[in-house]
Amino acid sequence: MATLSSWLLDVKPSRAGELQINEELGPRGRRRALIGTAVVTAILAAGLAWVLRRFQVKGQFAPELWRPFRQWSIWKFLLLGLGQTMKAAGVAFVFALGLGIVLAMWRGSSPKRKRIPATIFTEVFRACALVLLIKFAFFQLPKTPGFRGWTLSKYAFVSLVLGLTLYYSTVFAEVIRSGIRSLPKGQSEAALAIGLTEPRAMRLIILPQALRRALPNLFTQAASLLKDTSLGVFVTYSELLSRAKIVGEYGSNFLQSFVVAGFMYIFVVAILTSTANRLQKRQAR
Amino acid sequence: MQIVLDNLPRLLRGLGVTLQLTIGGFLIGLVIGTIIAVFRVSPIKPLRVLGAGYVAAMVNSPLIFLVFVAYYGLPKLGALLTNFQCALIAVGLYIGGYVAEAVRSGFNAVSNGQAEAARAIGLTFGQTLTHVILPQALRSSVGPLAVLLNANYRNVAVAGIIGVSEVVKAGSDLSDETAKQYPFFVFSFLAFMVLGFTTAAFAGWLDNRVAVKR
Repeated sequence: MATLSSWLLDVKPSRAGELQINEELGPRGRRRALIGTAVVTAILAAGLAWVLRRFQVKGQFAPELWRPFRQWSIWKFLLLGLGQTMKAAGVAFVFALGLGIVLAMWRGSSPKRKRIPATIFTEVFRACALVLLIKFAFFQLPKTPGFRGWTLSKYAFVSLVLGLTLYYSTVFAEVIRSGIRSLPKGQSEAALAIGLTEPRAMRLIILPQALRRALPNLFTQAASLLKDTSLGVFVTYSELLSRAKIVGEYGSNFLQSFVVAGFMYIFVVAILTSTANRLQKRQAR
Repeated sequence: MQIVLDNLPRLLRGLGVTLQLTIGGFLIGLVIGTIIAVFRVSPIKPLRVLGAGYVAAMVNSPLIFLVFVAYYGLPKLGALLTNFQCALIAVGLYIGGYVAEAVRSGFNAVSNGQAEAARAIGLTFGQTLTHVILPQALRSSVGPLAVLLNANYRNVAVAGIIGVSEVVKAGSDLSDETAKQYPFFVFSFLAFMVLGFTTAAFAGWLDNRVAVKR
């Protein structure tokens, strides 16, 4: 009981640098917090009970709606979808990061013939809705010479990856550029002073440090890229979400299949976001 | 050009839907997110756990997934909603998670001395929060919140998948009907540009106006 109440009343912030609104509570505060805890727990339990009751009343706990998830074939279907999600995200990430690094370097360099195109490219594609890019690519690619005669699924994959790459390259470029700007000026001055040319100074001195500083944000944006592969639904790319929808349509059990798919999404995306948080915390020290 | 002018009413209606979804969803998210952020610093542990769980669920799942849950899932529980309402709920809940993160970073921008001083003069948790912490925290989160609002214009385009005719969907329907792609693509793109710059300019002005000058 003593450990339970001290666990409940622990008000220390979990991270350094966080605002601490509460301090060690006194006797009256402890009493109030415990009463509050009891009341809140009761309210939350009632809320949960209400939701479960809705499920019950509407027959959503019926065994036949959950039965598909006892079959390996259904799991395999969904997990292969998750694989497709990861494949699109992985390919798009590699291309977007490469392009993003080039864009960030060009935007930070002095010759106009590099700076201006990079600036225009970044500003244009950053302002574009991802759905718009993906749909446009999907409808335009089959009409473009050199891209004709593919299978539908190839068009779907390529247009999804193309849209993600164009959009996220600008996002990564901005993240890296803010990493570059966060470096002290002395770094580039010293690099130039020892006789490195500007591009070499960028490549050897600035970029490695900037990337390290940008790492937490890069992970955050990679998580967002992974989530956005679900826009493949718009172009019939057979990834996790579209497959969950197919399972739901087939067994008329949308809620059940979305619960399963939701846990899959949260699991894989949380790996990236929690890495981002951990890196952030480490850099804050 | 002519083809865009001919279909301008439909495109503008689409733009109106985009605006409604974006701003409506953002306002819902603002309310939910602020409450969740307060939960996360409250002295009551179950509220802190609830807040953290909510943020984790929203930040880690795709918006289009939430739209699908609202559209295909909620009717199974007996909720009869229009497509627009489904999209609005999904957008509001989703943005709520991000607003909670933005407000929490606003909390952390408030110096510990403020909370200590508030406690020292005997304010309760609720008073400390409403009179001292929140006013400062919200003002310093104007910048991140504006970034969220700006991303929201483009994010709500996913509502097109459940037949909500926002600007991208209106444009792509028209391009199916007229077999012309570029004009409508360019229209949507320019619309996003205008909305984005307007929001950014307004946010910049607001940020400067309410800034905590220390």
